[in-house]
Amino acid sequence: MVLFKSDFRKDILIVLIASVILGTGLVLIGGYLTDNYFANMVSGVIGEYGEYDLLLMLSSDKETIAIKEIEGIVAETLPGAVIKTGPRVAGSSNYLLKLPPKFKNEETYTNLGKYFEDIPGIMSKTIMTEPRLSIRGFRGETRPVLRSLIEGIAGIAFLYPTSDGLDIIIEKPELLPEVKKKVADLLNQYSLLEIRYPLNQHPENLPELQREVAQVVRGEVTDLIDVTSNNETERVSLLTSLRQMKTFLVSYATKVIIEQSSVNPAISTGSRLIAWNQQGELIELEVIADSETELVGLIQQGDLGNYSGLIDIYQKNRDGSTGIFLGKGKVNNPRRELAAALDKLNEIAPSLNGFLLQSEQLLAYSGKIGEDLAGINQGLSKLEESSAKLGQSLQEWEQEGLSIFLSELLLILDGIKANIGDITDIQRDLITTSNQLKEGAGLIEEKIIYVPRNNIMYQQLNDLKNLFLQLASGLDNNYDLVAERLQDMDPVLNSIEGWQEKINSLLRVEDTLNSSANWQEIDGIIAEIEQTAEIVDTGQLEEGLNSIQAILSELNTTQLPVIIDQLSYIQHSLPEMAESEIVETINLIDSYIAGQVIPGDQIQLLIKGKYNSEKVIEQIKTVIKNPAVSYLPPMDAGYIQPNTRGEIFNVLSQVRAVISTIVAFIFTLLVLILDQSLVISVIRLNQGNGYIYGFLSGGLIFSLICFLSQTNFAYLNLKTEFLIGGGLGLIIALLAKMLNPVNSEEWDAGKALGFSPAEIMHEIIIPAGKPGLLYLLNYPKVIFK
Amino acid sequence: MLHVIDLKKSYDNDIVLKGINFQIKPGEIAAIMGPSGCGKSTFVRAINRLIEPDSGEIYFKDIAIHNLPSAQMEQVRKEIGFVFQHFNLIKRLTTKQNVALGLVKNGFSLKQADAQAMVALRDVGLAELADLRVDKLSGGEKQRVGIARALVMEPDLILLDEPTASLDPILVTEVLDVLEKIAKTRRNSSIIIVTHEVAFARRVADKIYFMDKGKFIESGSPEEVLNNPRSWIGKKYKKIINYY
Repeated sequence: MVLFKSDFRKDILIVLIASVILGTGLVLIGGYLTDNYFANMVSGVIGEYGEYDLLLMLSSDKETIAIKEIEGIVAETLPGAVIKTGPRVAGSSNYLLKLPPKFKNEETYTNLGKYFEDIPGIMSKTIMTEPRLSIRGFRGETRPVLRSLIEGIAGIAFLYPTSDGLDIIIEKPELLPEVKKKVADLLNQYSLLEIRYPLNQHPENLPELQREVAQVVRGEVTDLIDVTSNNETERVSLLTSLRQMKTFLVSYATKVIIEQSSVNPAISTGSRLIAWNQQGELIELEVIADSETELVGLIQQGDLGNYSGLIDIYQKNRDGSTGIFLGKGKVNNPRRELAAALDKLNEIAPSLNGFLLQSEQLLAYSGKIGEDLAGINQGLSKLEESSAKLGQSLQEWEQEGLSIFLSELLLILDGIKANIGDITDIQRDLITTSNQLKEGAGLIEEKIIYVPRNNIMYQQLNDLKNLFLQLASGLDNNYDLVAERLQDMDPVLNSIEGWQEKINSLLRVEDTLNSSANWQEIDGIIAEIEQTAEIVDTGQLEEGLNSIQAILSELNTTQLPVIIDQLSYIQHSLPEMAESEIVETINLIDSYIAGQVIPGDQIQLLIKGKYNSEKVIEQIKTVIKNPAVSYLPPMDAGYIQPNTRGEIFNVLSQVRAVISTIVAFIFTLLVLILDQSLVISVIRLNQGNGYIYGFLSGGLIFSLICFLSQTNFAYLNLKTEFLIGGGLGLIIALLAKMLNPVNSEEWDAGKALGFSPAEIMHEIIIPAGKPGLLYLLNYPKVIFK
Repeated sequence: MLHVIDLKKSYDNDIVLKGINFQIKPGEIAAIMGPSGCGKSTFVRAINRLIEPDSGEIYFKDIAIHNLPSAQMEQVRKEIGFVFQHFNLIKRLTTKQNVALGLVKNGFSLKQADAQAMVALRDVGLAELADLRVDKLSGGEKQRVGIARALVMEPDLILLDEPTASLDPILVTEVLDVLEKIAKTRRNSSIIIVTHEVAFARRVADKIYFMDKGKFIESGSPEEVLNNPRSWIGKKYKKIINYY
């Protein structure tokens, strides 16, 4: 290697260093320009780093109203905050909000979303304060535990909880890497061990198991915190709701039930059936249940309307054509049945209203009977008082007005007779009303199954059913009371006619005053009436009737309007969906919940430090003793999530890395073609190994440029960069004679003149070569330029 | 001036020089003649180690140069002029620059080198073409530039490797005239010329060496070797002389 034994090795070293420095500079400039260009672009859209705190995305059609409300909220709640109009993108308008420093605290950030939640047309609210770290992936009650530890890290301005994690606002941008590292280190100290019960498995002694498991694990680890949380997550709630909604929709959809005896045994769940509705339109069914006695088909296409009779069912062939006739199917339209049931409930309302009027009448009658009986008692007292004098003379009888009294008594007895008859009618009405109420309650009971349990309508219907039953029970009780009182009345009723007869005869006293026997008869009647009147407890009867009236009055004034409203609400709130819509919705729910699992109970342990998880799990198994339980390997206690802006800048850094790597590659290629190929040609001219030099020079230049400029291209490391550069150098070495030929005659001439290899290079070879870095660096040394 | 002892050179299995012994005194002119491929050019290039010999000894001015380090050998080469068969001029330079380059690198100022180069160019009859790029010159002119470049260094030994072999016959004469003139005027320099120009050799050389297959097979004064040749080469050359 003539060149490396001569002074020219310095030149080679200088040109290599210069190539690397220049290349690094170019790559850095390229990276800077890339950063600058894209950062400016991003800043133009979402502001400078840390400039704004909240991004509000509004639907453009509500923008005018929304921005007024936003301005109002800002003026009232966040005075001093600055609103800036952001970009408008495809039907949405963006507004950026900059908060004054006094509002940069946990309280404001925790409520920031709530402040703007009622803005009309708001599509999203994104906190974009920087510098910020977002921690996600907390499980169980890990968040509060780790939060208290994170708060102790210096450089944190404040923290605030988010729906699924914790955000940390850093005091200054320059502190971000340090805080990030400390938070990451802290998170790395902890791991979460989760013991999960199968779906819907909820052991009763879970708290006890938790304590035992924690006790067992404590012996194996340095620190442990039980962070078990069995609160359902939003996802689980959503899944549960969707499952119930699906159940509701399936029961709500029209089904066709086919007797299994008439069906081809090849038809089973999932098979497709064909039928036609009354209008001759095609109906396609899918078998959703397959029992020994019947098949249940759910309409997938077409609509049977309100039809509820029998239809012909055919098998659907694989090619879509109509197959063999399977038999008759009974159409079961739960929606129509539900609507009918609700109509029936509506009929109860007027009936209740009519009964109320009757009850008022009943009460009036009750009062009248009471008054009558009181009148009887009063009359009897008077009679008793007067009877002592009856033996004296007719004159005295007349003076006392006994005849008038007896006539009045007859009228009273007539009234009592009539009123008792009316009470009997009311007794019948009571029975009718009570039965109607019970029938209504039964209808609700029957149809409530179509309403999802978590729907408010379900609770309302249930309350209504209970109210009906309570009223019926009240009426029944009072019926018993009324019936009992009527029984009390029976002897009165039976005696009244006898009394009336005797009183009529008494009225004939004036005509028979000479017959002393009649006086004794009067005494007897009076005593009998007095005794019967004492038996009838009109006060108790009145009390019972009052109680009925109280119930009915409450029903009329408060509960009845509510019931009617509820019935109306239920009728109008039921979804009016076509069969195809129901099926589409069911399919949509299926596609969403497919593979989603509602977890069973779980035990979550936050463990500090490293430990032998396999050993610990084995020990836990001795406590749990349930083969169905799964033990998840240690999971991250939480992770730092790049925020939106961070993601954008991450993408930009990748773009920069690609561009930088391309610049480095092109520069290396140029250096190899313009400079190193000449050196390689000279080496090969002097029987040296130009391939080794080409590989080494290419590898060094490319890898060092990438290393010094920190291109950070994700798919390359120093080793691969060296290999890529080396490969490039090999190719150039192969093509060197073509790319940068050296005239051997000139080389010999220089040699013959007594020139050293370096002098030959400086004076003869390089000036005749390509104008690269070597040429430029050599130029000052050339004598004849 | 130059003493070569048992010089050997081979390329792979092809032995080109088979133990050459040679000696030349100061001011002496030696012509080496022989058929193509016999090793003449290899020998003359091995003398100043443009080709490294495999073995043997070379003494130049009583200095063993066969094992001199590169740096010292470069100094020795400055005292040995070399004229190439294919001129080997630096294409990007002018006539004068080609001639002056060696002087400048040898410590002369540009002005001095320029003046000396012009003298050398006048000697070879090319003063008027001094500023012309050499790639614009004819073959004969190029070779005269090559001769001027070798002479300007005032070497103690001048090696000419078939200086007319690349020229068409018309241009050969102008080069030979220059060489003959030099041979007569510069008697302080020893000259070794590899040539096929038998008449030129007869006129100019003090001693003629016939070479065949890497060895000198006959040597002596022109009269000896050409009038009464013993070797088959000598006899061939005599026949050529007789032909003309």
